[in-house]
Amino acid sequence: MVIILVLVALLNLPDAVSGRVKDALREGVAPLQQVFSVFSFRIKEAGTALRGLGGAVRENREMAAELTRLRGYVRHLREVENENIELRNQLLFSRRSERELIPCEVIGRDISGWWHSVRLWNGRADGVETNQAVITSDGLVGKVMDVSAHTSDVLLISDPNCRISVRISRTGSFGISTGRGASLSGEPLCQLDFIDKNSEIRPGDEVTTSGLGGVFPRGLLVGYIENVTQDESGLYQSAHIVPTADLGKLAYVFVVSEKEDPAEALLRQKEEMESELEVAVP
Amino acid sequence: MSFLLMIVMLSCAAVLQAILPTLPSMGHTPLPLMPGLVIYYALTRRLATGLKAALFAGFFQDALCMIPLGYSSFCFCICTWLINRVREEVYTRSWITHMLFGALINGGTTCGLFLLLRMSRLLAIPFPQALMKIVGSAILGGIMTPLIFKAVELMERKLGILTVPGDVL
Repeated sequence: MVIILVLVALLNLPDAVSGRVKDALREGVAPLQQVFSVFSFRIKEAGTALRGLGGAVRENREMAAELTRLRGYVRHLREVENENIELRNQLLFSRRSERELIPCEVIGRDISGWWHSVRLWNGRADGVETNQAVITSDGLVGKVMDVSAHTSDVLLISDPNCRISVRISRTGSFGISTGRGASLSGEPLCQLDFIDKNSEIRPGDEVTTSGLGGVFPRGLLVGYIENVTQDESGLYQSAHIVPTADLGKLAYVFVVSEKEDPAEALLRQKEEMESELEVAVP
Repeated sequence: MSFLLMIVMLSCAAVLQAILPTLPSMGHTPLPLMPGLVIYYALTRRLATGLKAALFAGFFQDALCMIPLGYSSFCFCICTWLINRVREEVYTRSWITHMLFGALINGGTTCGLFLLLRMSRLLAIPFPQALMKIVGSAILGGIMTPLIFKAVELMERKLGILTVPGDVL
């Protein structure tokens, strides 16, 4: 009888109370989850090391070459960045908000298997907030859905509940990317809808976030177009996207926190107040 | 001691379920460790203890994912009650019983959760993928439950909790 009462109470808890109970339990289980996660990561690493023992020298040589190439690329990008800042200053453009990357450790996946999500061992105490974008060095991973003091849940871009406003870099056309789960081979699937029917899209085109919608900052790499189809209505084009981030093997990710420059924030507040005054006193 | 062991095992199973790899061919269903434990307690304990295990298992599962609190507990409690009703009619020590119960209960729980989540408009996955998950969980449940049974039974015997095989505590 008591158990039934507890069950009825659990099912009818108000959202706020239920959220607090879940947060408390998550916080309690998180250290255990982290220990298990580190242990499993070490086993995986050992397995990979054993498998790749023969190819280590070749891999090392390839990585050294890649490092040299990337260093050169970074030098070039720095020059371009300085030039960009100078030109923006000359044109009196406002400064873009700064992006801070919060490194986070993945400690588990969704236990029920109904959602494509992962849990991070970083939360509010580390500056993680809901609706922040999550990336790896390869590309966009997802967005923060739920945060407690020391943990956070990330909804991956392959989840059907995850919708992102994206842009095809080559053509500049916009679309909406929706998660489609995973294929039989385990590859994450995303579908791009509502692309202008006159836009010429090719397989291999780069897809980045558009910055519209306010959740994902502009310019984060999502993936590449795999194939293009005509929408059933004939008004739009649709396409399949291959995400660049390896969503099945996430160990460390970065949460993108957009920090506004304090001076810029003050100026913006002042402008807002002035415009409000203008409206109030015409 | 028995209750403490139950809580420890359920929390470890919850954590393991979240990190163990999943199979794409099984609809990425996690290995059903907690449902296995629920079946174990439903078959080897009195109804009250079985319901306690079901309640805590559901509580752990819901707290570690986006399912609203109480949904999994509700499904697990119904399963425990159903098992309790038919327990006298089956060979509770046979691995075939464990396999069949594992498959049926896992498939049923996954199906029940799918319906509850769909009714709450929390899930957007297409029906073929949901069907794959239900079938996958039934297959995995059939494979995993006898193994979980053996492991927990062995542990309880070593700890002196289970003295006579097949005894209902």
